[in-house]
Amino acid sequence: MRWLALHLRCRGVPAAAGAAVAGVVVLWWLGQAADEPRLRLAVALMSALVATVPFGSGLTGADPALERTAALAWPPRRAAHILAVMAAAAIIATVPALTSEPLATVGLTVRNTAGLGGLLAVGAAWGAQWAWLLPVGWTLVVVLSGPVSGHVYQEVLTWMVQPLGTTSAAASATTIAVVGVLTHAVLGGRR
Amino acid sequence: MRKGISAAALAPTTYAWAIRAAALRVLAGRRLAVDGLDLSLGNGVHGLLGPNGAGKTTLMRALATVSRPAGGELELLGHPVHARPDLRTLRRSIGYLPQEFGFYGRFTVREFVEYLAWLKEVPAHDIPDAVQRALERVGLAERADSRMKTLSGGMARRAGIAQAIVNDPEILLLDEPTVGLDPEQRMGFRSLLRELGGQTCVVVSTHLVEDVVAACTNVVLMDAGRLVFHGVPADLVELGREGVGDSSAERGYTELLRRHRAAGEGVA
Amino acid sequence: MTRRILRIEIRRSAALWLALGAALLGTALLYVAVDGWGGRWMPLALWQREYLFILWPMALGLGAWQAGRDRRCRTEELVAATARPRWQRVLPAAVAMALAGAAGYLLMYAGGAAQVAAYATYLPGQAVVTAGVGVLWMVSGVWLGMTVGALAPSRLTPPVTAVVGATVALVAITDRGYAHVPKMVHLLTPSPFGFWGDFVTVRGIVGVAHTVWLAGLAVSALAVFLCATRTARTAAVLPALVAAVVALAMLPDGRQRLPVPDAAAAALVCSAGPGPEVCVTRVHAGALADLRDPARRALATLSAKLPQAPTSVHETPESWYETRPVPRPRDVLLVALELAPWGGAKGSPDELRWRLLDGAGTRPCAYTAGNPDAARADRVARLAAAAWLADRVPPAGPDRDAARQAWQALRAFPAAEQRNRVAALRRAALACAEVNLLDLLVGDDR
Repeated sequence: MRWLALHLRCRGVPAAAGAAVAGVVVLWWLGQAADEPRLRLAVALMSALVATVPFGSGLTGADPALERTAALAWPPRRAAHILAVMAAAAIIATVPALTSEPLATVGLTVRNTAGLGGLLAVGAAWGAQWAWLLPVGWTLVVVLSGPVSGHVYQEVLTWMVQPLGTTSAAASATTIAVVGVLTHAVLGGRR
Repeated sequence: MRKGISAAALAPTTYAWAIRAAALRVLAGRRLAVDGLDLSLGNGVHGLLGPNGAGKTTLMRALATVSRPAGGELELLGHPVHARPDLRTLRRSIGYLPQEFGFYGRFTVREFVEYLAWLKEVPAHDIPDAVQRALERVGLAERADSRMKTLSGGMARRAGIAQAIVNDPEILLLDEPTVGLDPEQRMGFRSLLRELGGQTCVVVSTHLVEDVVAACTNVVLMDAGRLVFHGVPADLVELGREGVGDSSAERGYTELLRRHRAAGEGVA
Repeated sequence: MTRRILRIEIRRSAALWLALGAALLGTALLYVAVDGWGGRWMPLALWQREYLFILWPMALGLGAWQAGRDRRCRTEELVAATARPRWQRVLPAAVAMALAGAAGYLLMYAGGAAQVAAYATYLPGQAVVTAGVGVLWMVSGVWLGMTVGALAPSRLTPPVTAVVGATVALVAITDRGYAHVPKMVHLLTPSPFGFWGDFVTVRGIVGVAHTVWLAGLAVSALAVFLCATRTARTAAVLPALVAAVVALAMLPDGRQRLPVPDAAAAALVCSAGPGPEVCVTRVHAGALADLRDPARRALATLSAKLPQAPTSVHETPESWYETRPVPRPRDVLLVALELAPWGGAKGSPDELRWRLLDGAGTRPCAYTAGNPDAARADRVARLAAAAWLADRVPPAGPDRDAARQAWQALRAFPAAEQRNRVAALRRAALACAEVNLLDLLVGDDR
């Protein structure tokens, strides 16, 4: 337990969780004022984004070279870290929904946080301080284009705003999440 | 082209000591790290010794005008720092290498030293020459166009020394400058210090007693924020007949500290 | 020397990444949507401004990242001992980032402009102005990001700033869902425009107002970034507030008032040479070659089969749901066209022909809006009339079967009766009489 507490502190998880909660609260308040369903979906997507992205800079420690010299095996721990990030983000993003009418279903939020967490992990392989670029950029482009349901490749590219039942969107989100977890477990991150 | 000498440099100095501190108190965080220090330093190489937590780095920060003194008097080049000083003019004549030397990894060595020279308001037409001269003096002229993050620790430290001397300062403050330098480079550094000590007030804070004995004209020993000893290295070696250590200087050092602490307990 | 320092900053800071990222991502995004703006300058400008909703938050985040450089590289103590005042020290980095943001945006515009310049026929100055104002958005976004990064030094600042910017963009884009947000928020966002079609433009005062607002915002952002004391920073917010007030005073209140019809874009360009006159609007002049032959054949068909047939074909810039009364001259066949992004008219010659013959050469009327059954009946009747004129089965589409049935029913009548019915449909459609066209075509009452 002590190891876990120290690990969370050295990765800046409390601060990130605080930022995530604050962001989700603000967005939930914004979403309450919205009536149009497409807008509510967009706000729900932004909630998933703001719940996931602050954990990005904590995916690597302050000295990755030092951590690599440790005796214990890092890959399962790193995989557990990124999975915990996805889970924490999902929980934080869905908690406001318990108080009143939710902006989106729990399943949708879980899918989105899993996919965004995967993108975050892939970005962290390049640099933890840059990890936010990929999820934020992709989400922005998708929000601006809106849900496109023509060809399969369009559904795959805009997987975040597709309705829950769309199999192509669920498949792409799962693929991204799995790729992210594996990348982070195997490669770790850079500063 | 030789650097022209300005009229200000030719004018006689109006101050007696380059660095003068009287009952200086400086805070590090909330702790009083420098507690009532009296010091007068002129031209020459002054080695600053002391155990960890003695307040050496805090003193260096105060001398570099990075920290403001909490009490007492501090005069640098005749300008009183404890009052509201014109730090801008003063900082043009100060060179500082901090203990935790950070640098912009993507800059090349030359760009980094040029940038620091510009920050110290070296006249624009002088900067290229001054940078080249500084790099040659520390022996980095061949690596001048490689990025800072590709340098080894010792070379990065030498780049730090280069940026400290690039503006030909009148006060040069080096905090742990020989970290990471191999013995050959340390000897080159010592001769650089001796060369600089003629016209500059150099303060070198270090743990390596041999460096102090070899290159410094004065030794200042601090403990717990107070001055313990201010003299020449020969005195330190002289005291080394008693005490613990592998060389006379080290024995002198430990003996001085022992006497100072014993005297302090006796008083208290 | 400052030039050399500026060069160093451009090469070694985040500036090059910002410029490259904005240029590549922006151009890719533009070309994904080339259908919406291909070959026309004003829609390119509108799309360019719309994509600022993606580029602006990224500029914010990268600016915040750049401002945290001293903290990340641990050089704070080193530069604290140097002589230059803070504002001189950070100015080269700010200028470098601003240049990079502007360059990225302009490169993106150049990427789109390359396509448009090859195919466009009408260049309104307002299009270039509208796109050009976007440069100031990038500059002020970068400086705002750097200000936030300087005021809140933390590892979390770049991503949080980017996400906050994205949220602002989201709220601004979908104002329909936020009716109680004051209109000023929408008017002062990167793109208060919408995609209104090819024949509208933006009044000159809008560009001036936006320039004033953005200049004030940029000056304030830079001033707050450069200033070190709290009083100076609070005072530096003033230009932005003043600029906002002045800009709002100049702008019309409400997004709907921003577009104005562009008479020059709707001016007609006609075919030369012998034969019936075929005209298109100036902005669609590239479609003239594609329209000419189907139009002349349609005119020939109409004059062969109907009395009082039109003698020329004009493109109309009005959309069919225009509620204002539109003159519908009897001797001109009005048709609505779209430009294909890579030159020519959108639609094959066959599709154009069906469109020309639709409703026996008339435009749909607006009185069926809101009444889906009546609208459907009208569409079926018009398609059946076109099928009768073309003497072919209606093309594939949602109303095909119903139209086919109506066409069969029409052909059951004697030839003169068929002709009269179609002519009656044409007269009713020209006058926009509120009758059921299907009844008119195949109904029993006369």
